[in-house]
Amino acid sequence: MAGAALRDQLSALLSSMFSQGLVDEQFEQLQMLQDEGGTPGFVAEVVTLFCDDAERIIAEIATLLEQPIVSFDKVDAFVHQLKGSSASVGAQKVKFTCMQFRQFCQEKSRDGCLMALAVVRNEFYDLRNKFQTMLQLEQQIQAYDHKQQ
Amino acid sequence: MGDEYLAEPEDEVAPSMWPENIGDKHQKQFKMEKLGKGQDALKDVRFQEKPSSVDFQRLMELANSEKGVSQMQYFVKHWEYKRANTARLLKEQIGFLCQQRKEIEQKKQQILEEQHFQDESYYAVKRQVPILDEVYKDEWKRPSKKSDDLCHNQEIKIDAEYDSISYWKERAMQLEKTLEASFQRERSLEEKLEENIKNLQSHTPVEEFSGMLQRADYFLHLVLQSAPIVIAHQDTDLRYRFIFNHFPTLADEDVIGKTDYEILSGEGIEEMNNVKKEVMASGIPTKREFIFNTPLFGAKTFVTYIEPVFSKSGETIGVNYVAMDITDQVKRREKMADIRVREAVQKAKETELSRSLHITEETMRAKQMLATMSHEIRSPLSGVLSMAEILATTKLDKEQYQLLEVMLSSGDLVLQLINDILDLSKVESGAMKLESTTFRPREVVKHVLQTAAASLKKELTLEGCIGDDVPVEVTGDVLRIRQILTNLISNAVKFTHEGKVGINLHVLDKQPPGCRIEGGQLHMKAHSASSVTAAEHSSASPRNCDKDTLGCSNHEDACNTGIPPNNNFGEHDGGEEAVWLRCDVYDTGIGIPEKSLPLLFKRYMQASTDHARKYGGTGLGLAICKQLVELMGGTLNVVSKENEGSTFSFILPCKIPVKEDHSDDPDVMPSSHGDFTTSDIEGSFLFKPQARPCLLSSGVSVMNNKFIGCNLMSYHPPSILENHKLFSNGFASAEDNSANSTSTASCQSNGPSTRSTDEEQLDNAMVIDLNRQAESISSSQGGTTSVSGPNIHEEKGPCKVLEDKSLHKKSKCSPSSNKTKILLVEDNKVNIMVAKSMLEQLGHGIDIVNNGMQAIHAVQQCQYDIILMDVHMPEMDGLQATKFIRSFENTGCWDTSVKPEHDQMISSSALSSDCACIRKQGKRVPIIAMTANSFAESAEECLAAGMDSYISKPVNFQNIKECLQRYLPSQ
Repeated sequence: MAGAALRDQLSALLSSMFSQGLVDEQFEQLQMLQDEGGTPGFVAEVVTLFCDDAERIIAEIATLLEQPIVSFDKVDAFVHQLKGSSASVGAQKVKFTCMQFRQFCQEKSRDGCLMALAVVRNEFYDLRNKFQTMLQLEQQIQAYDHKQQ
Repeated sequence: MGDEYLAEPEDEVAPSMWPENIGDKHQKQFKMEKLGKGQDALKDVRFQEKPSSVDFQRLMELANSEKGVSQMQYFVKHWEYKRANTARLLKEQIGFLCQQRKEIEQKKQQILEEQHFQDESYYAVKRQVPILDEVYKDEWKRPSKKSDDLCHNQEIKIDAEYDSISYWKERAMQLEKTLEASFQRERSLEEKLEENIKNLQSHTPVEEFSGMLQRADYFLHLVLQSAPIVIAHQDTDLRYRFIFNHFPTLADEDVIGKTDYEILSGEGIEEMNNVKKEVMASGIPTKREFIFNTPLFGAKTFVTYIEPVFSKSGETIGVNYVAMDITDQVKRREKMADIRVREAVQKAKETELSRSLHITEETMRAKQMLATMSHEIRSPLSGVLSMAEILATTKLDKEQYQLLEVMLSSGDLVLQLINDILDLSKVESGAMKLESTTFRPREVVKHVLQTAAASLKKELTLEGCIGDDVPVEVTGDVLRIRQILTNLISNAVKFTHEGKVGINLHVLDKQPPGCRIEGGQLHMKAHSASSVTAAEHSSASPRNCDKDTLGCSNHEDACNTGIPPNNNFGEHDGGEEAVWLRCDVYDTGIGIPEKSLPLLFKRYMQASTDHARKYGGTGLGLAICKQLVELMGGTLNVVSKENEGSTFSFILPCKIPVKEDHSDDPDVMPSSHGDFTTSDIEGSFLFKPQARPCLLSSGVSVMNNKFIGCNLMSYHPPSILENHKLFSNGFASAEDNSANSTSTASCQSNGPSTRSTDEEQLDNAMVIDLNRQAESISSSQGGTTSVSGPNIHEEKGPCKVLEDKSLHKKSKCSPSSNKTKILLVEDNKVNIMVAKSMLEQLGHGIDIVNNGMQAIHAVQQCQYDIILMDVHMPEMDGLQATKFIRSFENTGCWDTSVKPEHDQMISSSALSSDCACIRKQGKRVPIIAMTANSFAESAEECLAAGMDSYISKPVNFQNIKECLQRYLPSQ
């Protein structure tokens, strides 16, 4: 029954992520793609890719914002990328904060950008933790299933 | 003469009219005298008397009036005072003269005494100087005032020796001279005296009066000289007795003794006379404005002061009046008033305007809010409905199911209502964009009737009749036309209890003039979509449609596979023919009372509140229909008779797409024709209420029935079992596959393998899959479908494939078996991954590049069926890349900036298959933008760059599937 418990845990986690607005229907799509397409591990793949990508982008933005003269266009381009990625995986909150971030970029407000970056970072880490938990659970389930077989 | 003036200065009401220095204060008399001294001025006075005229007879009468008496008394007093003054002056002079005389006498005495003494002493000796006697005499006789002084002076001047003869002689001479002078003085004094006496005599009161009066007169004239004033006195009969008019238009004798009526005629005279009479009667002075319009001096306004004149006994003996011309002032005043009025009006208008502006703004905001709210409500509502639908698929007992059905139908109603509101606000705000697609009017009419028949709960006959002249295909916004028809039909059904409801569609014989221009208003776009298959119609049409006719739409899918997809290329090559289609939707229902007709197309209006209660609805439907029809350049109107039925007719301009030379798809066309022979020939449909087949008959069999014996078909509420297919939405394909395709296994097995190759290619970011290219070329060249995708169908025999094709023409499996080539241009890895996964899910081959430049290189080397292009990318964005690709397609050569580095690449690919090159140049690759922000501006930019359509990111399965279905050539 451990498998069922794990599954319960996973679905609870997922539904909490949905209800908190961390992820949206796009993430559902990914799950569906995975289930319908018979490609196990697709979500994990995408999520990992997203996390790595986002971390890189956030680091890039942080470096840019530390420069004495901030190139807001560059920052904006990065934020745009991050927004695209998060939209694709359905990381709703990150996407929203990115939209706010872009506003600050357009206003060329360094303080605003720094603040937005902090928010984005928070949201992202929060999400990444959840994703990691999710992936771990999935792995455990898989392992369990494997054992069962 | 001028006495008249003085009769009036007493007047206390308007004292300013008169010179202040006239009359009452003594000190001012002197001033007056000074001014009066100039003799010439006095002469002038006489001369200036001309403008005034006087009746002297009347003057006497006036003198008897109280004022006249006091005036006379004043004059008398004045004269007495003057006379006393003169007497005093004379007395003074006399006194002075007497004194002088006394002094002279004294002097003379003195001289005589002196002389005497001398004579005594001298003549005592010599006694002969006779001349001296005379001297004495003279001196005695004529004394003068100053003789003493002279005498004394002269005494001193004598130089000669005293007492000598010469001395005495000299002295005698001098004395004689003095005497002479003294005589003279005396004479002049006498003359003066006489003169004075004469003067004294001339100072009679009358002369004094007239002098004073003359001076007053003179002043008056001086003051009034240039005053635009008329002063007049009239007697009790209102005859003029005196008038002063500085600018006389009439001679004096024409005025004196006459009344106003005799002199003037015209407006205002009567009024003035009435007022004068009133003044005389009441004895109270008054001031008024009179507007005259007389032939004599034209239109003028005078302000007039009228006062009564009383006799000594207190009787009124006439009026005095002073009038002043204030025409200019009045004009100015009127102008000011006019301006003020206009200002007020303007201000009122402005307020009104700003108020209405405010209201408009409010309305706009309210509308905006309504739209927003509707939108906000729609999302959760669709959630509720979806959940209810899922619930319907679970195990339910009959009661639960009935409840659920009510829930669903109510929900659908709300959804429909919200959609209506959204549509309306979209049309009204101008946000509604019409799409231009090629469609088959017969199909549309049939679908609408089918839909209506399916949900029909009454015993009604639904019929459709389409004229033979209606073109097989026309171009227009099919969704909107369907919406209009559905709306009208559902209205008709709602208000019809027995009889029939039907649609007549035919071409208007006489095309309204300028229909081409009208056609141009259809917002046709050069990159208009390729033909919309019926499958899309059903997927995009209102939800309940789908649900109700699920079976049909499935069947349609199968039928419509054959619709030539490439109309879009020929569409704008030549001049398109436009037709006006007239569509009548008639019923035999309750009809509409005539008085309600004008309100019919108004928002939220229904024929009557009774109807609203009885039949429900919001009254939005017809408003939307009308707006939509007008948006498309047509008109909608209604003819109705109460209790007999109504006919709603609309005419629409539609373009007839130019027939494509179908040689491209020789195998597809005939088959499509084969499929459609039944429906193409069919000019009428009939759905009769009888014969309801059992609920559980499968959708396909129903469809077949319909197509074979299409006249006798009835529809029924959809079975719940069919519903779940719809719910599964985009994923229906998979289900369909598993349900009725034998190739499920091959599909599934194919998926991963394709993906793995794609993953390899992902690293290169550039894909040249000659194998696939060859496939697509061969299939396009006219090879049958069975040739394509051999790796999928390898386990099947060709027979099987053919059978498959004929049975499930558009089975959702077919794309996977055909290996269409898709180029995904996207720089975001995550996006790539998601999109790739989705496309693979749909069974498409996919090449991936990371920016516009790479996309161009890919296109240079490989033929793609569709390109999904991100807009924002590094190096070269999607818009730029699209422009280059389009220009290549049009001209056949690449822009120099993006020319392929190795020409042989093209030539090699050209060599590999001869037609590759030709196809490359001739065919237009559909390019779909993937935009991050789905605002209309951005979309327009995409379309302007030459893209065919756009999907907004994040791409989801449904979007991408619809898009591919629409743009991928069907197999």
